[in-house]
Amino acid sequence: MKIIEVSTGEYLVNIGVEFDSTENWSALDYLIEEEQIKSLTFDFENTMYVNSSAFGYTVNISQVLASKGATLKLINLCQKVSMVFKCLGGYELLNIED
Amino acid sequence: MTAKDFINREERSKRSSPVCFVADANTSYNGMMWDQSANGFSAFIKIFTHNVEKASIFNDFLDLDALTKKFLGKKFTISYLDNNNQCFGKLRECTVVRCERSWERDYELFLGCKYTDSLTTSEVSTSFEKEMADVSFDDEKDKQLLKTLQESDPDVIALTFPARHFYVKYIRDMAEELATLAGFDSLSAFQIKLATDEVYTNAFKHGSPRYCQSRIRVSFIVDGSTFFVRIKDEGGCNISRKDIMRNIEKNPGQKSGMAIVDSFMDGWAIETLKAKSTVVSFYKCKDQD
Repeated sequence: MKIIEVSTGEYLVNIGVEFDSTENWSALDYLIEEEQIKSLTFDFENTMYVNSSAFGYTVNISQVLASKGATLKLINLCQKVSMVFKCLGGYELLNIED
Repeated sequence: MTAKDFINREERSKRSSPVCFVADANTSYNGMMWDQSANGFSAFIKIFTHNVEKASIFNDFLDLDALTKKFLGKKFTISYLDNNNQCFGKLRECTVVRCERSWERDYELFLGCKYTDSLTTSEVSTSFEKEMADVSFDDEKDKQLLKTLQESDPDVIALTFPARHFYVKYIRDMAEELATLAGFDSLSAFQIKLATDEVYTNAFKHGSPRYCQSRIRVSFIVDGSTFFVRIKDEGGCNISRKDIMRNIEKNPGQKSGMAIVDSFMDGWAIETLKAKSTVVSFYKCKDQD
């Protein structure tokens, strides 16, 4: 996972090959809690695997950001990742750009 | 399997003899017996010389999927061949339970066969019964699947892990690789990986009261058409399939990991021995098209 500040308050997160609960998410937690965020984009370009823990985490982030008036967008989901998010109800809850 | 079994196996394989698989009056395949037991045998067979299916061989490459469809589950009469390629000895009927690429030169296929008149007492069946003792399905379709799986003499791979979460990566990757090896397509293998991850994670989170002192047993039962997974923990949470389905339906927006198992697998069950153990079993069958 790599966090890039695109412009002030706008961040791009390159999600790694696997997005799951074995990943250390503390940097992202810190960013969301401490920084003044306007928008966050999760880029799934290299991501081949996600599970329900990662999905739950993403939904939580989305809700925290919404409460701060910020937005979360998910981009570049491959077929398998999008299939998992669809199954778990992500397309109703998250801003996913296919 | 003991060292003695290995010696016997080696001895048996030294006695490889030419055999003939007779499908009907017009179709038969010559081969070489590789190993045999009271319940069945394995053999290499020649495909090119019999010109089995032109569609199965393209540019000298075997289409193993097409050949598997052709041979798996099919009944043959098997006989030994003498030096003049004439049948001799007792003819016995067998069913093909495994079909793999041959690793012996001059042969293209390796078949595992079970005598149809044999009793189910092989090592594999015993381990299958042991693994499946606490697996219980209510649905008739699932019960039938288990029966078919048992009759096919599947491979049973069982591993016990200390309840540590980082093993989940190893277990789910293993599930995916085994499924790919068994001939499942990439998407199905991914779904099996995902379901294994979700159930193992639940076993770790809710079924390991002694943390890494607790044990999680993961079993993969694989035959030519089905991938069956069973995960047993020490939790014994009193939860039924009905409870899980109710929770999934209650939160359609944000579903749990078991929604993945329910959506992507062909069948699943949960069996709880209160405060002692929980076994979650699920399976996926190969697409038949």
